[in-house]
Amino acid sequence: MTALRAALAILALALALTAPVAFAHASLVRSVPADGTVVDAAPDELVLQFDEPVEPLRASLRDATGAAVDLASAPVEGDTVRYAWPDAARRDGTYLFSYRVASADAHPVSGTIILSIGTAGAMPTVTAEAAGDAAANQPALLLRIARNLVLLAVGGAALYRLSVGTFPAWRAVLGLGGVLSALLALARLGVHGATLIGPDDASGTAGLALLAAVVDPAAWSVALRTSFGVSALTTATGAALLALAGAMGRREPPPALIGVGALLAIGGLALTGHAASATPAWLAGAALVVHAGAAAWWFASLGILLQGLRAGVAPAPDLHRFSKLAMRIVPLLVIAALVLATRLLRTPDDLLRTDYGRWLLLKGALLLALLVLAALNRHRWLPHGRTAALRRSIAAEGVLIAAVLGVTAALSQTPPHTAATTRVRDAAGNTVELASGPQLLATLRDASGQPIEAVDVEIIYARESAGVEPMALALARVGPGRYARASAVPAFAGTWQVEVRARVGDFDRLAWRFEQVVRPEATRP
Amino acid sequence: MSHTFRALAAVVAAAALPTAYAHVSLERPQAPTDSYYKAVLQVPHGCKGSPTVAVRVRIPEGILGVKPQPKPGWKVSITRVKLDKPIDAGHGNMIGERVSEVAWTDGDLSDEHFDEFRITMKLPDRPGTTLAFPTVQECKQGVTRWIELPDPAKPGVEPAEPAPLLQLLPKP
Repeated sequence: MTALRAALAILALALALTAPVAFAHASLVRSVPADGTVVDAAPDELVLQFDEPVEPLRASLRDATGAAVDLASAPVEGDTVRYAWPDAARRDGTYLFSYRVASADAHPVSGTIILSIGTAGAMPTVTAEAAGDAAANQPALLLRIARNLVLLAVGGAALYRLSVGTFPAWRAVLGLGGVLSALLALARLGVHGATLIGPDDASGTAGLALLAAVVDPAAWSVALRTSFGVSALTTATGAALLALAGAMGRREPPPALIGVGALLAIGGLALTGHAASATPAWLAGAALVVHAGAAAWWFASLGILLQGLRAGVAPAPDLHRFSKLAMRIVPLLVIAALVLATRLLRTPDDLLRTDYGRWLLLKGALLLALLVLAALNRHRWLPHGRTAALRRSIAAEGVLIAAVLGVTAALSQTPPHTAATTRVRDAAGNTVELASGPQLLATLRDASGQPIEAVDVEIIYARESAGVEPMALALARVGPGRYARASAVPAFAGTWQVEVRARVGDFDRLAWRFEQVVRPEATRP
Repeated sequence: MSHTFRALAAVVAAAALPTAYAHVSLERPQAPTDSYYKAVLQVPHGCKGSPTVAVRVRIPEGILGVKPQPKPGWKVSITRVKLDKPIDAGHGNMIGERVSEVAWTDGDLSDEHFDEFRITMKLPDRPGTTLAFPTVQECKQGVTRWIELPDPAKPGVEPAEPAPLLQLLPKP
């Protein structure tokens, strides 16, 4: 036994003596040029100096559009790494340089240096869709407009069929329209997932990268986990039910099938987007369903009636029934619109001051014109059977509704200033509420709801999958428990690992770690 | 506990040595509960190359009889707080306050050098728990705060600047 103990003791001693002397965790002593500086002209090289010898693992340089610039491999002299500054990065603007090196014991050390040439530009805003121009944005926008149009037309036609009467080719409309709507909804879902993931490497054209990402299963699984996933699936299901109703051959489909299909198809729209993030969610959602349903009914009805009038098959009972129903449904549409507006805008001033408010005013004006025409229809032309005037008026209404749909598309692209907020709670019950928008605002509260006064607060963004190593941004106090940063946050659309750290004393620091998905819309200036 | 086992534990502990070196940490991160313990706080480097001028340690509650070891060239100070409930320390002594912070200041420890700061204390009777000694290292330029606690949601992942930890073992 004694021999064994002796052997173990010698072994322990040997291990202790041979423990590596180089202490792990190299840290960056300085960089030349330094982090956050503005230089007149592009430097020849970027020098990183650490406090012990390191081994470079990888590095990436991204310009203001988010495109990656290739870096030549860097010579290492002990604790100093020199990267030759690429010629492709000589333009004025702000650049993000991310580095990752290994310390002597293979512990990785990483960080990001922000460097501006010429002018201190805003932080680079990068979206998966834009490679510097809006052209790559168009496929997603067109898809969205197409989906909305087809969905409203088909859903509205279904509602017309239920409430007013049949119309020729209704089976074809529901059948083909339903299938088309479902396909468009699913395509939109795939594109959404692709924009969330972002391209692995933004060096190719964004359009191709987007397409490649759509067939990536990861894009679909990410998209399905967002509210958009639930919405798209609901819409697609509703559309599929409508298609089923249309494809039932000679038989009359049960009204419930058409009703539920229309409800799901249109109701799905309320499960995501601005209305879904307004408060209270049930009110905004219900208002949106009523508004969209009424609008779809109106839109489809006009088309169907116009068709009937043109074909000379003036279905007088249908026209009268439509007119009577319109008296009830249009006011509902207006009330729902007002409810939505109060939920999405914070103050009446916002109507004039914000882009969203102004679009809303335009929509209101168009709606007013529509109501005037509709009133003329009802009281002047319909009772006297003035078919020609009716036809022209309905055509004019159709044009106005198309304009309204265009404005609605613009509204859906514009942030309504209910900025996206994330609320996270730590193990002790302290919460941070992070609002992202033109200003980054963090509200800190302890478990009993009182604001937390911190000595310093910083927010750290990391997105390893895009090669962006952790960046720390300091927040300044703007009120009790409120810390903000004026400038816009750099954002690749996609999922960021975020950490908010608040030092509340010499020895205490609170930390909240979470993931935040930044939508492409939120990154547009 | 057999002698062989203790020897084996020493081997394991020795093999685990290197990972602790990068941080300000305790030389002995484990100790039996309810015993007298000499904490040896190792400071292996300065703040990004800048020399260390002060080391301040917060003593967690439950620890009694705290005495820092003075160092030539450094000023040592002790901060005490009142206890909510006085403690009976035996021998007829009632203790009404405890040491909450120990600090060595006005020093100059170059980044090229290493030093240890010692405190004796009596550990509480809480086997199986871990005590944290958050430490602030002030340098000529900059401050490093070794105050992060492990994230319960991520066991096994060490924070970047962890507070020195002491694990209380069952009584032998």
